Amino acid sequence: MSKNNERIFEEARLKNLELATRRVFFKDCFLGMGSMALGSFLSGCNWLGSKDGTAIFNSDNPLLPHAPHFPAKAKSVIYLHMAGAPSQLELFDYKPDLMKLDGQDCPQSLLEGKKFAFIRGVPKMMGPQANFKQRGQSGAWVSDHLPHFATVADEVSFLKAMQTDQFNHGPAQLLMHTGTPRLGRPSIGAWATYGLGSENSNLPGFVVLTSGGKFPDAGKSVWGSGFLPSVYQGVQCRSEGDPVLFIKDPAGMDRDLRKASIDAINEANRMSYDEFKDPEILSRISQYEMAYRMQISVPDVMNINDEPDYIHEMYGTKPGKACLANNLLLARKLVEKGVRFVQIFDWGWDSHGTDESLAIDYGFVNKCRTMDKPVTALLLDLKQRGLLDETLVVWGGEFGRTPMQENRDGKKMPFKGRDHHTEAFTIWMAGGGIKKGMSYGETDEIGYSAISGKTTAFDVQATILNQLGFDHEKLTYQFQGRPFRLTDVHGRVINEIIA
Amino acid sequence: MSNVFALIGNFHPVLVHLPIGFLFLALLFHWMSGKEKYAGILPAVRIAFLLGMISAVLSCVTGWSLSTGGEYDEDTLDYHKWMGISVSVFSLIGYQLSNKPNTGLKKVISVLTFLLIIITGHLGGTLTHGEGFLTKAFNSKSDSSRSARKNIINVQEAQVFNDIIQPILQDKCGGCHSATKQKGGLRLDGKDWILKGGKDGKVFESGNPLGSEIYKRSTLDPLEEKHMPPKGKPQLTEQEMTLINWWISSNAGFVKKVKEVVQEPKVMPALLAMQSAVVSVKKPAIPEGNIAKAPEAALDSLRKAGVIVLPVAANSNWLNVNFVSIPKISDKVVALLAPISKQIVWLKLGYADLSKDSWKLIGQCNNLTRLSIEHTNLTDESIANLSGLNNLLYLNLVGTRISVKGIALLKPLSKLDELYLGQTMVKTNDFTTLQKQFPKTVIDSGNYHLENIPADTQLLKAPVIKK
Repeated sequence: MSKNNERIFEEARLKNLELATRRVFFKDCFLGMGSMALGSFLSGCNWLGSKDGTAIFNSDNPLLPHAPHFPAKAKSVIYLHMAGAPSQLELFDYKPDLMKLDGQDCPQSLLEGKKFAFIRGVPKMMGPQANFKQRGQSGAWVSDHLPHFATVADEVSFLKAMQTDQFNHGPAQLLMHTGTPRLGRPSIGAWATYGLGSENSNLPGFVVLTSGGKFPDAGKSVWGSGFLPSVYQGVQCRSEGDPVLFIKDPAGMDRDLRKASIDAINEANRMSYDEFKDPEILSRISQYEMAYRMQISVPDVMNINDEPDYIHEMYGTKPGKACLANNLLLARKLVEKGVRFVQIFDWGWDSHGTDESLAIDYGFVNKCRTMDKPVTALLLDLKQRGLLDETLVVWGGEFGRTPMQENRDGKKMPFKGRDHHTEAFTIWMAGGGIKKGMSYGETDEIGYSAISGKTTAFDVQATILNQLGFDHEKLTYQFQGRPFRLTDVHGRVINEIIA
Repeated sequence: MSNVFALIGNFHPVLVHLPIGFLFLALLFHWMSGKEKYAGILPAVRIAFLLGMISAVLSCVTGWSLSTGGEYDEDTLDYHKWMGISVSVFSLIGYQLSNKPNTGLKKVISVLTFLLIIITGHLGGTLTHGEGFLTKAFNSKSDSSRSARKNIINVQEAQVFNDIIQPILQDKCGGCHSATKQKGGLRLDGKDWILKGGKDGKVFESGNPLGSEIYKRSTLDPLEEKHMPPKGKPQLTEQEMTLINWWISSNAGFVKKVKEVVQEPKVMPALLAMQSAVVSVKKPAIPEGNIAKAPEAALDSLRKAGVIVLPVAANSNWLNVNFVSIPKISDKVVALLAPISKQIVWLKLGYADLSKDSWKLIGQCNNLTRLSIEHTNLTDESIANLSGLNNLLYLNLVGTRISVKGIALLKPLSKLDELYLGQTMVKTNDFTTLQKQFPKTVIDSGNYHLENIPADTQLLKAPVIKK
């Protein structure tokens, strides 16, 4: 073993000696002069944010836990994104008056000056395709599609007058998660990890789980780190096969050998640190060590098989499959172990009515059935562990769906469906210092548009950061010469739903 | 004529700043002119005193006109008036003395003038902005604006007016319509005052919200002059408006309890929110005030052992301590908490197997507000150590061997909001007894189950249509 180490050290020594050769000297001078000149051009671009008084990035240990601006009400967040956008009109936003208009032509006043993704010409109105009841003490309207969730409706706060300005999935998802419909900004989870670090030094601070057979349309940018250092991006884990790709040791390499090789690399790195004192080297060393620890701890926490049977039954898991139920159980395990932000995407809610799986009266109902029990189980499971109190759960899509039946290209569709709609949708939040049994915001009689208590993606983001202990206007990162924040110039903390 | 008189009253808030400025300048110049270096500014003192005197008299006149509007607290107004008049008198004396040589009398006069201006100014501020306006910012930390609202455990048992409506009115209307100030001759701090109404007549008509000014005004366009609360003041929230509307329209009056009044679905969430808001309003709870910084060496040794020790917020010395990163928690590591026992407010120590001494040490961290010791070896005996943690709001005992006997020892924890007892030795039928012992605590029994229903596994299929 020590002989192998000798070889690494020898190689390091040779590399060092190269630094003193004439060729390397000239090459460095050449590049060095160029970069010095460039540096002076770019002096306004303080891209590591070191001048910014609020900068919290520590290159030695970027995931070192930090204290937020004020005491947090939530220690972690589970964000459940129903990708494709579920219909609020079949779940929470009960509009009996819309039923009376069922089958009639949509009035011109609702179409003039509006743009829809697929609706063309004059569509027909479509009444709620579900039965509604008021639930619990709070009297929240929840449809029969969610029989389990209806029993915990008193635990959540509904935001019924959400609005967005993006009617395509990709941009709308980006807006919900990164605060802009365009690419390049960090996601909420990345901001949270940048602000708080990782509580568990053996696990990533921000984990992403997907189900439904497809990635969200916006791609991985929706959990990206944008201009923040890349350590803050979401670590995508899988509930099928290896939880994290490429984390297993290759065949023939045992744990001790891996340890020995990492020790050797780190020792070489430490030697060069002693010589050059470059803090980036320390950062590299700590990353190696963390990766080594994660090799053990990640597969361990990602293994749901050791959970008792009654928990599996509660969530309705399907061991070995990539499904929402498994992911929700995983989410609870991760939060329990101190992961800050778990983002869950479940694809398949885009109920246009183009085929059976996307029909509002078939595929949509089936999606509800696969979501209802595990989501309810997640809330109850967190509650019985005393974790709901400090875990903020957010549920929602990227926009809403029209009160009109979709008529793609002006033709009648094979199945009932609704088009993308920006003017009204419902999301809910629970736990983490959010009021119980609250409903905020209202839409008009037919659920076409929000009329009071309007909220936006920025407001939701501001509220999430607020629950984590941050003033969304002060959590900034210096980039391209100015401080950036998640909510840019928007956002209002929705105090109405905060306990 | 009376209109013109009322009009000049409106100039009082502008004019009052002139004598303050002129007279402070006069006094400053007067004191400076004592120094040889500044002796040259002596003539300016006389001019400044003259201007101060003229503007002070004008302020008095306009102030008198404003006071006849009668919207102010009489006592304060009286003091303010006499103090204002004495400022004018003193400025006259100052003017007269300003070309006389310096004497002890002059010194006394100048100091008195200075004090009088400050007192008059403060009283004026009190009249406009309400009692304690100056220190409001400091007070708000310890008693939030919600403090007027009573803790409502069960909203159905609460009184509609006293517990729900009156606190809203006090919060949002009290600034101008209460004992200290009565704009429009209206007071809203009690049944009799509300029934009496204001200058323009009745404001409350039971059963008719839109006929009751008290509600109608809040529904007007915010830009309209008659809209209440006025622009720039904290507005009624949607929820508060729903509640006020319900109070008037349902004829709830001033003595009924919530359960005695018809509740439409629309008010139910608003009512429930009154209740649950109270349970968790103290939530991110950290103790009031601050504490000495924890010794850095102790923090370092804990961090080295893998414990996460963080201030609960930037600029706070209260600590949040979490053992989640440590796979096997030993007594040796827990012992490191001793030097910071007073600073810890949140402690997470789940899945630990601890000795008697460790439990004793945790029992000494008496500023703790949140304690998670789920799945630890806590027993009915060792729990006695925790009975002194009387600041606890949240206690997580899930998965421990605790039974009803042990929980009884927690009786002294009077602030306890949430107690988690899932998977413990507490039996299902013990929970009713426990709830009686801890009436203010939300006790979670855990053990939740979701019934299996056919829809969980069945999928809907569209009927196949033959072509």
